[in-house]
Amino acid sequence: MADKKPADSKRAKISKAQQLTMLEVLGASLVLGTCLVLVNTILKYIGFNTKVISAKNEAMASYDQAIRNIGVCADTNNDGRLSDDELKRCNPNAVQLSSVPNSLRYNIFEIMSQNEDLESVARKRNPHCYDKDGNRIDFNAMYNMSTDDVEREQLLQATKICSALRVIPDALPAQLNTEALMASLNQIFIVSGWEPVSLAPRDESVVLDELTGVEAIPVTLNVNGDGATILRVLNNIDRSIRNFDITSASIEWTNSGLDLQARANAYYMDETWALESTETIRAGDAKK
Amino acid sequence: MNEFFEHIGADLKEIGNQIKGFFAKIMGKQAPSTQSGSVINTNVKTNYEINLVPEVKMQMIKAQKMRNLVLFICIVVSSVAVGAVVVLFGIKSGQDIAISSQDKKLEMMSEKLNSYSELNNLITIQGQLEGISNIIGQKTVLSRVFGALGVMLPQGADTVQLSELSVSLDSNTIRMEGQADAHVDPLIDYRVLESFKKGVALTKYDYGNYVDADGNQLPTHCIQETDADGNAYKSGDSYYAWWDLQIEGCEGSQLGGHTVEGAKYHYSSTAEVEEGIPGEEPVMEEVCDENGENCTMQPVVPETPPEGEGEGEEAEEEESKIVPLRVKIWRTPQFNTWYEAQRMNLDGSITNVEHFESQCITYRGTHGSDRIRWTSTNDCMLAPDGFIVESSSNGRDASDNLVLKFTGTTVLAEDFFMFKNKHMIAIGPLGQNVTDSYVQIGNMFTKEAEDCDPDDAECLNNANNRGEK
Repeated sequence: MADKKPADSKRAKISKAQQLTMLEVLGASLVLGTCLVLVNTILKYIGFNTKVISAKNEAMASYDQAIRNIGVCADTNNDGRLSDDELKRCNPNAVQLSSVPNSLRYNIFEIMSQNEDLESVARKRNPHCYDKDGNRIDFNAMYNMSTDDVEREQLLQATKICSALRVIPDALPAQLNTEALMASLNQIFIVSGWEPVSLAPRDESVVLDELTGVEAIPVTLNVNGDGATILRVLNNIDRSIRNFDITSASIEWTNSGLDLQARANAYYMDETWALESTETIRAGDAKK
Repeated sequence: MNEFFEHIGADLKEIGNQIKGFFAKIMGKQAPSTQSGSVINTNVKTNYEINLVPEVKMQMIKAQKMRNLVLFICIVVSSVAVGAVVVLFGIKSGQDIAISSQDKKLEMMSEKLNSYSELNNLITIQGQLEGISNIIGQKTVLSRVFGALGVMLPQGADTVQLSELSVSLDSNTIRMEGQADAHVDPLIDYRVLESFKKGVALTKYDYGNYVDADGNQLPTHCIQETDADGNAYKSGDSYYAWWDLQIEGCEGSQLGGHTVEGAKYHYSSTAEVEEGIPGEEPVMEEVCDENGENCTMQPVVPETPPEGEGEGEEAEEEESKIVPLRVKIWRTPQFNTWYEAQRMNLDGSITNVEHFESQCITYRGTHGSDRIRWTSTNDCMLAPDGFIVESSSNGRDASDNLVLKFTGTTVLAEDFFMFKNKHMIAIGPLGQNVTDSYVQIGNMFTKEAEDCDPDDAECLNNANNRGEK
C-alpha cells in the first residue's frame, strides 16, 4: 500500500464533508416533511375542533336561554347565564314560580292562569275550585308553599283545572277530536234555543296557508228557524270560546222559516314537543 | 459511527467559532482562533501575491464551511418545525379538553330541561296561544252581513226582499236572489232596483274603539251599544253607548275623583253617569226625540224625595249602596260642547273625555261667520264596486202581486267582516246605521216570486219597465 499523500487526505475530507452535508439535508428534509404533515393534520383537527367548539357554544347558549326562558332553573345571581353550580343545584320540578319571573312558566302559571277575562270561565265550571265556605282556593299560593313533590304535582293539576289554562285547550284543542267538536256545536245550538237538523264533519281536507301549525276540521251545519233563531245561532257561534270560522253560507226562505246552510272550519293544533335536534358538524365546507 | 459524531461535534464547534468571529469583526475585535489555531488569510496585499494554501486545501475548507452552514440551517428549520408541531398539538389538546367540558355541561343542561315534567305542556300552551291569536286575526263574522243588508235594503214604500242569500267570506262576495216592489203603479218598477243599486254603492261602514278619558282602549265586553231589543242607543242624530262599570275588568273611576278599587279606567268629570245599586235592575222608560221618533228605553232617574221623607238610617244605608253603574260614551262627537270645553280641536282630535276613536271617520272644524262648522269624512266604502245585477224579470210574489225578480252580486270590503275590527256599523246613504247586534232579518227574506205564467198577460205585458236593467 502506497503512502498517502497530503492531498489525498484533504480530498477524503472534502468527500466526507459533502456526504455529511447530504445526510444533514436528508435528515432535515425528513424532519421537516414529517412536521409539515403533522402540522397539516393538526391544523385540520384544530379547524374542525374550532367548529365543534363554536357549535357547542351555540348549543349551550340555546340551552341556557331555553332553560331560563321556560323557567326550568333559576338564575339565582341574575348574571344572565346559568353557571355549573346553578345547574347542579337546580331541581326543575321544585322551582318556585317567584324565582323565575318573566319566564314562560311564570307567565303561564302565575299571570295567565289568573287572567280575569278567562279565569272565571274555568273556575265556575268546577266546584272543586272552591273551599267549603265557597271561597276560591288559591292553588298557586299552595304550590309555592308546598315542599313535597307529589303534593306540588297535584296542586299544579288543580291550578290548571281551576284557572284560565283550562280555557286554552277549549279554544284550540291539542288533538283532533271530532266528537268533542260536534258536542261543542250542539251545545251552541241548544243555548241558542234550537235543535240541529244536521251537523256533520265535512269529508275533505282544508289547507290553511296562513295559519302555521294549525289544522282545520271542516264542518257543515244546517239551521232552520225564524230570523231571530238564525241570528242567535250565528251570534253564539261568533262568541264561542272555540273558534268556528264560517267560510260560506247560504240563507234561503222556506215555508218553515229561514234555512241556513253553512260551511265552517274549526281548528286544532297538535301537541308541541320539546325536541332536541342533533347537528352534524362536517370538517369540509361541502354539505353531504 | 463515532467518527461521524466526532465530526458533527467538531463542526458545531467550528460553526460556533465562525459565528463568534463574524460578530467580532463587526465589533472590531480579533476573531477567535479557528480549528487550525489561527485565522486563515489567503490574500496578503503586497507587491506580490503568493497563494501559499494549496487548491485542495481551499476546496476542503469550502466544503466544510458549506457542511457547517447546511447543518446550521437544518437544525434551525427542524427546530422550528418540531416547535410548531408541539405548539399546535398543545392547542389541539386544549381544544379536546374544552370539548369534553362542553359535553358534560350540555349533558347536564339537556338532563335538566328534559326532567321538567311540564315542559311539553308549556310549549303546547305557548303554541296554542300563538295559534289562537293568528286565528282571531283572520276570523270573520258572518252575521255582519245582516247589518249591511239592514241599511242597503230600502225601507218604506219601496221594498227589496230576498229569497236567497249566498255569502262567501273567502272572497267577501254576496249573491242575492230577490224581488223589488214599488207597491204602486207601475207595479213592476226598475226604479226600486236602481235605487237599491245606488244605495249599495253609497253605503259606508265604520269601526273603532271606545276609549276612556285618558285615551285607554276599553274592552269590547264593557260596551253596550244597543238596548235589549237591539236598537242602537241614539239621541237626536247622535249615537252613544254605555260603558258598564259593573263588569269585571271594566271598573272605572272619575278623573280626579275618588279612586275605586280595581279601577283601571277613568271617565271625565262631566260624564253622564248612571248610578244605582249593583245587581238591581233599573226601572226603564221609553224616551223619544222631539218628533216622537227614535225611541229608546232609558233608565228612570229617581226623583229626589221631598224634605222630611226618606230620611233616617234606612235611607242613609240605601244611599250608601248607590254607586256609579255605567257611563255614557258618545260615538258621535259632541262637537261644540267638547270644543268649548277644550276637549276637541279643529283638527278633530279629542282628549280628556271618554269617546269613540273611529278608524274610518275623520272630523274637521272651520270657523264660520258666527260659529264653528264641523264636517265629517268617511272613506270606508262598504261595496266600492256597487251592486251588479245579473238578471231581472217580471214575476208574482206570494200574494200574487206583480214584482221585479232579480239576481245580483256585490263584493263587500274585507275589513267589514273581520272579527278584530270592533264596534262595526254599516252606514246607509241617508246616514242611518245598523250596529253589529241590531238586526231583524225576518223581514229581509220572503218566498221566491214565481215567474210569469204563459197566460198571465198582465205579468208578461207589464211594459212600463221593459228594456231597462
